[in-house]
Amino acid sequence: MLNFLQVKSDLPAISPEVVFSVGDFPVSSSVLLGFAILMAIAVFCFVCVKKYFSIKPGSGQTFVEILYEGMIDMITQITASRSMSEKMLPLIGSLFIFIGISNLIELIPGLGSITFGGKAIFRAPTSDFNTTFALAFAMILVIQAASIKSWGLFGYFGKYFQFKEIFTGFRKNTGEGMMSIINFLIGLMDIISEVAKVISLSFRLFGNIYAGQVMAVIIMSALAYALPAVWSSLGILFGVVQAIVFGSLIAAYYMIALKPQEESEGK
Amino acid sequence: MDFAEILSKIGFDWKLALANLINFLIIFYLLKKFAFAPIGRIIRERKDRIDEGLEKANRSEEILNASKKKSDEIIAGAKEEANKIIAKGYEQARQSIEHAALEAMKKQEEILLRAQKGIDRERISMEARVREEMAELVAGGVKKIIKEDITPAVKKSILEKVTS
Repeated sequence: MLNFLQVKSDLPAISPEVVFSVGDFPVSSSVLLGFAILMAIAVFCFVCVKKYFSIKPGSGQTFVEILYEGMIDMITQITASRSMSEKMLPLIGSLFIFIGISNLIELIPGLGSITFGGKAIFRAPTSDFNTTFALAFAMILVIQAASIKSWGLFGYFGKYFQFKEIFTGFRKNTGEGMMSIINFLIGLMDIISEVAKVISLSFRLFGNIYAGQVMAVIIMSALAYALPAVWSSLGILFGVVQAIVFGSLIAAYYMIALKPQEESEGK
Repeated sequence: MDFAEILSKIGFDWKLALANLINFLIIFYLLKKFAFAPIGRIIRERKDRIDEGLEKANRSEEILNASKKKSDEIIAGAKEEANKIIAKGYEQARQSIEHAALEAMKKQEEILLRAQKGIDRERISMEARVREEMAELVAGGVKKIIKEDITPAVKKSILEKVTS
């Protein structure tokens, strides 16, 4: 009786399976699904948007426009500036769409059962640490570049190495000088925090999605009927929430990295 | 266990990371150039058209209100003019009636006067005839009484005595 109600399967491997290699470069199941998502987005761009989108929208276009405006509104809540949000939309929107689709696509039943040479060829890119790390690392690099552009090279390094503030602080009085030493140490800690951002962003997303897959296997092995449906429903919510969290954090880090004047100019 | 060892345990491979990053960068490029830009343009264009339409509608409403106001003024003016014309017409009609009545009265008076004159003339001639006939009768009676002819001078004297 219990065997009928339970479906036992192996827990998904933490590292992605390499399906085949192109020269020295391995192609993993997550890369393949990422490529499939890329193809789907390309079809959407070249067929749907280019051919069917017009000033008089249909129901599909209306849905996409609602999503577009929703993303801008979400970013505006962080940037407090519509024009700044429109500038940031391509980056944050792409992250949201890529991560959102990756998180939701893994909920399609039987996707992991498609195999090639005994290896599953599709795995959600966000359940692969390589993807989440690459995204987080690239985003932090982009943010640092934006910060250098905003502050200037000396201003940018001045945020982390506050020597000038120590000098001016002690010229005022000893109390100010001591405070500037504390600020100098905080500045050094900010360097660590920038590195920690990469780790926290990548592990948070990877951990949530991978844990979701593990939980799905555990639930299936406990009760294969009804309960997985509830878990999948929650999975949709978690998938969207994780995409929003990742995108929002990048937007917030981006705004923090800019010079305060530049932020207010955008308002 | 160092950080690199942790990364290798969870399957970190820089080549796979690079492949995934390139996938994302292509997606970013496609979405930026072929999705976000045209969708944003369409939304802006629609917004501009809606704004333009609303502005035109407001302008049309203003023109309509002004036209209505003007037409109301014209109608009010026309009504006033019509009332004036009607009042003038009444006045003219009243004057015409009065004039006609006066004319009629004048004519009536003239007719009455003429009739009176005719009557007077008739009366005078009748009186003259009566007088003549009376004289004739008196003369005939006198003649019968006195048995002799009466001369015209006597007849005249008798007549004068009778009519005085």
